[in-house]
Amino acid sequence: MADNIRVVVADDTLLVRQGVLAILAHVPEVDVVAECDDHPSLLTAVEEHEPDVVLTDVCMPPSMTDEGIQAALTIRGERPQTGVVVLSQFAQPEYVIRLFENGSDSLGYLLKDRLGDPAELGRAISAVATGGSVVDSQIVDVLVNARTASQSTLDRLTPREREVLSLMAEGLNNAGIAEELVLSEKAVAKHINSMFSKLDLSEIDQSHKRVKAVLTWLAG
Amino acid sequence: MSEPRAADEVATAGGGDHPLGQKHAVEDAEAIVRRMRAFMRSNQAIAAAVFVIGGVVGALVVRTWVAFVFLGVIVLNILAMEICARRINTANAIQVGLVATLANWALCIALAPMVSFALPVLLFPILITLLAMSPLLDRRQVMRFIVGAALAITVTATLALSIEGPIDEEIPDNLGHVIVVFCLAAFTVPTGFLAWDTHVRNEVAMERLAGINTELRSSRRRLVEVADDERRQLERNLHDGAQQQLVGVAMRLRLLGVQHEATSGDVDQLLGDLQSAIDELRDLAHGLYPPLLEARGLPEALGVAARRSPLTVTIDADGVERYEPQIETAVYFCTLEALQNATKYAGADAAIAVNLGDDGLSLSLAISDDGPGFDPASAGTGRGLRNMTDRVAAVDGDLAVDSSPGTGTTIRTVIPHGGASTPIERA
Repeated sequence: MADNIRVVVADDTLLVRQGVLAILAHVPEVDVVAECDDHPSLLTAVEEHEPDVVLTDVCMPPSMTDEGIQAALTIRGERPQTGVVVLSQFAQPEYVIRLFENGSDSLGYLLKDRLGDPAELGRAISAVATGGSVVDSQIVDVLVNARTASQSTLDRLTPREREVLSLMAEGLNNAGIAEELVLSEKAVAKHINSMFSKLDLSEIDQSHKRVKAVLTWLAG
Repeated sequence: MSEPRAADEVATAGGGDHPLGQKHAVEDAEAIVRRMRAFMRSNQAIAAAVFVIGGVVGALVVRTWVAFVFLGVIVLNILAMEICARRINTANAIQVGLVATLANWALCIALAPMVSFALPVLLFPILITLLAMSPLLDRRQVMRFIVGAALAITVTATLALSIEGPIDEEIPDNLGHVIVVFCLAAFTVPTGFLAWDTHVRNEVAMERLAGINTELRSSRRRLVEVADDERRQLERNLHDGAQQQLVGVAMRLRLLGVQHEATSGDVDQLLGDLQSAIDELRDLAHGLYPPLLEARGLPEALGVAARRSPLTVTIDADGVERYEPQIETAVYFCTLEALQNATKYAGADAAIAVNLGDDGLSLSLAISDDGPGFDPASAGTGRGLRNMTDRVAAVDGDLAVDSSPGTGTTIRTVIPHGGASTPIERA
């Protein structure tokens, strides 16, 4: 198919790479155009294949620290039309905050521990390819908890509103959230309005901008 | 790390009873023997000179049998010094030194009634033994020696001042004065030598101590570095090896579960087991060395540590940047240890404040809790505190524990980073 999403996969562990490829094999709208196992080869592959989306590990050779985050920032800086999904083992918001430092457009952060469902991964890749953002809900939980520990604003949110906040950060639109929580879209919109006024955020329509707003607020 | 190297380090660090180690103990003993022999020979030379002068004066001026007694006592002293100088070695230096001392004291006491005009000269052989012997003796022995010397001086002076002997009567004042002046001047040679030797001994000891101290500090630093490198390597091997492979397997297992709904219950159970294995491995690896510390530095790594702690931990790390890895690991593990201690002793609802600061020259760390506190004097040194002290000392920092019952506990340390080593910004 001509409009399939062209993807480059980077991970230094063969088994993980094979796992990701096995999942992607069941995502019909995605074509894997290259696999890489370190930071330099990833940047070369991106130059060569001009993919729509890059899936990358965080720790890769040469330094095994945070090459994936660096690569994501480089790629986003040089080729704004390319989306990047960082696949991490760490539910540590520090990496996410760093990744989203200069904006969250076309960026995603997923946990390897939760990868497995082709449909979910496909959705994330599509979202990032079209300028959206995706963050694993566990990360959002960590951020929310960290924020709760230091400030009391989030205490004012009802449990339902927190659920909505988490799903929103995952990049779901109102319809998606409604489906996930088995609510009407109208009810979701009501929750969001009340939540945004509690958090002092103005209502934003586009779902990926909402992710950014929520993350920025949480990270602050 | 090879064992012989570690053993070497222990040997140079503290082998033997001598504070500077076995090798220096031998050098030191040899230096002592040289010092004592030089003292005995110079003492002997002056006695020989006195013998010659005494002989001439005795034959030409004094002409009494007491002059022969005088010369005989001098000869005995010269002989005693000869035997001592020949016999002294590293094993018997103190005993032989004492014999020489007694020979000198006996000489002075014996001569005092005969040549009381020479009293100032007679005090020197007594005092000089004190100077010669003091480095050989321990503190208590030196005290006894001083008392002994005081007694010898008292006896000598009393005899000299109360008895006017036959030699005194015969010797004209002028000749007496010349002899006294000559002898006093001659005694500055051995006295000066001993003072000089004492100075050199101190200087050498200080240099050796400084050298050993530098060696010890750098070897301690190296040991900590080696241990940290090994922990880091172990963390990487676990993370990049076993852990990642399990994560890869889990992904495919999850995929299987999605694809084959019929078996998804079994798959879920397997996944649960696999996930707990992965989590356990991850915690283990993270405890060994947090990758975030190397990648992003102290504030972020400590942020994660704070979230993992069951207590409420706030971290203030304004102005803290990147430092040498040894400094960062020292501060990190020290904080971790303090958090663990607080978890154990400060109570479940304690609040911990971690304050990091940088004044441009050093990095300061203060960890305070609002727990019950303790009395540092009665608590002894626990393993946690010992670890912290060692960690911090390896990067030239001091650790202070501030606590008393009822006021909580604060642990403080200041680690110099040299200022010149401008905070390292690693990409």
